[in-house]
Amino acid sequence: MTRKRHWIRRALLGGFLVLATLSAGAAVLLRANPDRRDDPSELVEEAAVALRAARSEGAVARAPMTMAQAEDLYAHGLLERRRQELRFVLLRDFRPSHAAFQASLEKATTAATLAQRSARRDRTRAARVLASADAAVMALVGTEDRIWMAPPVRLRLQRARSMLQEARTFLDHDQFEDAIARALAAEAEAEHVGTSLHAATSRFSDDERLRTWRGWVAETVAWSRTTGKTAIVVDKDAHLLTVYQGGRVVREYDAELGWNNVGDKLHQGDGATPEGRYKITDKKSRGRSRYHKALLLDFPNRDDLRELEALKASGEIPRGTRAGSLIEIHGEGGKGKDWTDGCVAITNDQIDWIFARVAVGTPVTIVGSQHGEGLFSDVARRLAR
Amino acid sequence: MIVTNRRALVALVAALALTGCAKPPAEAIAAADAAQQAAVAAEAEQYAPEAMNAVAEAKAALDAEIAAQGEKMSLTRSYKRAEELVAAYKAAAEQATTAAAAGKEQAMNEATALIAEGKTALEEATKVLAKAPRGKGSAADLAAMKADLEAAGVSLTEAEASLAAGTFLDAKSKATSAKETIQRVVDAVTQAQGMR
Repeated sequence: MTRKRHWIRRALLGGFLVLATLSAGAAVLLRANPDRRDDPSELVEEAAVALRAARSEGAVARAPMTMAQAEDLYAHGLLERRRQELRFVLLRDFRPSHAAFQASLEKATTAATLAQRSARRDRTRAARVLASADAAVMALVGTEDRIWMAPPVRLRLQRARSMLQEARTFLDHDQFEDAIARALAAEAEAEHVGTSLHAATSRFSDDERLRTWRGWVAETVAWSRTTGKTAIVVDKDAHLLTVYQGGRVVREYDAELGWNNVGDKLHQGDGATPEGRYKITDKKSRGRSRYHKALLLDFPNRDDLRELEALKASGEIPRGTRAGSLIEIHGEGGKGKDWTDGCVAITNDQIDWIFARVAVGTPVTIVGSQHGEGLFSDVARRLAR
Repeated sequence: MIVTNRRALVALVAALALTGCAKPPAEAIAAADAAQQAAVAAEAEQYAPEAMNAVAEAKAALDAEIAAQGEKMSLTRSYKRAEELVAAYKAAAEQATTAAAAGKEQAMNEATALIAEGKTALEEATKVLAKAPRGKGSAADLAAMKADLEAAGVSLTEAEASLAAGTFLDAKSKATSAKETIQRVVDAVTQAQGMR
């Protein structure tokens, strides 16, 4: 009995010594590395937040390598953390997972920064393309209200405006490639319109034509000077009707033209005001004209008919096309736009003044431009640049 | 005494055999992966990016658990936690799919409404143009405005095509620009009527 008691006492003492040794060992372990047992849960959340932020900045596409490294480090951190959680509590060491999450956090932050820079570069590039398209389109916007455009050309201008608007929407939504594609399409449409417009207006700044037109005006003014009589010159480009008496300018009036203001009259119904040297063939007083008073011109003259026949012969216009007629200088103008079917419109007061000073046979010379200065030649020069 | 020890040994072997057979929940993982693929197919990355973040985080947690258990001795592995994590991963993926569908529907509804507004505006503008003052001097203006409305009509047709293709932002931007063109025409006609 005594021996058995002695044995139990020794066993208890042995157990106590083992426990004391283990506790001392654990205490030494913990004191040696006090942070090894710190669970990195806060850092996990910080890394996750950084990864979310990087993804929302588009880092997956814009900084793929850095982002992949950040994701890998995060995954490694989770694995390392779980490994330690599965170990005996005194043996756990969370430092490697801390390091992985810290590295993941830093990489994710870098990825977000890279993505932001990349987005900024793309935005700048898209904005530059859009600005170029905007300049091309806006240079034409408003022109359609002043210079006649054939419906397909006008439609293209509208399309260019719409595409520009769409490009802006894409830019606002950070869809830079779509914004660039739409802006380039808008610019291409604007270029088509610009080319058409330049083709229509370039003759107003063409030196050879200007020489011809100046020659016509010079002859008309010389005739007025020689005879001392009244002569009229209409400059389509400047939208100006000038009255000469004895070779001197006595009146200048704003003139409104046919709705196809940029064209030279070729045939009936084309809405253009003819260019040439004409004479007044009839004076229509009030009651005989729908437009207050009117001075009927001898359109088409021989030159006009010759030109028409040449166009028919070349097949540019159908054989049965007629030249048109009833081209007048008349009243009811002052609308601030080109609206007639080919006549020259001035205000009623102005036609009254002229009406009293001209006679049948008075020369009326209508030219595209005298000095290459006016609505059409300005547009031609701008487009040429 | 010998019988008792033998029973204890059998129980221990049975327990070890049971735990030693623990395997990752492969079917559940496959189902969750399929749910994640469904979320991607539903364009959740575009329409529900926050929900997709949750999916990525849930998947990372699951992968870590599977890998950590895989490193343990086969007899000590346990996939109970993995089963919970795979369930969370699948739930997150399904939620992302739902959120994407909702986001997409909202974008679609907005685009549809804009196109409908554009069409109504086009019809009204066409009527307004038909009643616009006519006569010498207005024919060219009317033709020009008609061309502008045609351009708006083209934009609306393109917007419908974009809507059908699921590119809703494109559809919205086209419908918006069409509406602006239509409004310009209506304003021009109104102005012309006022000048008469």
